[in-house]
Amino acid sequence: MGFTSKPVRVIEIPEPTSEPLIAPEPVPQRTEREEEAPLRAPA
Amino acid sequence: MNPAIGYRFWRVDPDDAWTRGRLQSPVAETLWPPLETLQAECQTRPGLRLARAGLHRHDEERVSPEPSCSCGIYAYHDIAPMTRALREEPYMFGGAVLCWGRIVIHPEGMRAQHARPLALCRPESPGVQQRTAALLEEVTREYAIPLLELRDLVAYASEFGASYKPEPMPPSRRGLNRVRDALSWRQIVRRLGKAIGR
Repeated sequence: MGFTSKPVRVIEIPEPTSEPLIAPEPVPQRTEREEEAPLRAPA
Repeated sequence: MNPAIGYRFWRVDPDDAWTRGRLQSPVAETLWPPLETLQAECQTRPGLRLARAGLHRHDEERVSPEPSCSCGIYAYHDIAPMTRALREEPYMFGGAVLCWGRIVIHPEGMRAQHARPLALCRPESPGVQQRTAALLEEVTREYAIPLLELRDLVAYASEFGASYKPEPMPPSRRGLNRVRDALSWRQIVRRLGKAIGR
């Protein structure tokens, strides 16, 4: 690997504080059916 | 500021008992430590062209990558140059890396101070897939990273950081800059000086 062009910019990025080894899981969305489900009165 | 995402390739030598299962930089032959961060180190030794020119020497106080040197951990901004290289050599594998610290940005990629692999991608050719399946399983287990299809690599890597690919300068702007430079006050004075000097 090697670059033939000159550098255009130098930046400093701080060390990632929390490095997850696995990409975060998407938050499950509530479905319409769940939202429409009638609430049951406690027995 | 988010860590930088880049794409690169490594060699994994299946026949070398010492380095088997380890990712190795193809040019500098650096072995990437599993589950640890790789730190850039300038390898321009005395006598080499860059060291002789005084551009960068191995020195405790100096930080690699130095903009004027060629040292640092290399990664491309895009997957295309990575995939081109993979077609050229067997036992060369592509993947994504997370970079931070000092980052020297070039139009085609970057040189980083710190990096660690994020994921490897499965070879495109079914023949290569079959031949390297066991080796790749060993490598991904060693580094605790996933083995992904090439089409999923960018989406996966984007979860961890950002691309720092510079915006390309449009050609018309380049032309304008040339005209502006030619008509700059300093250029006009220089030309006038030459004309008067004659």
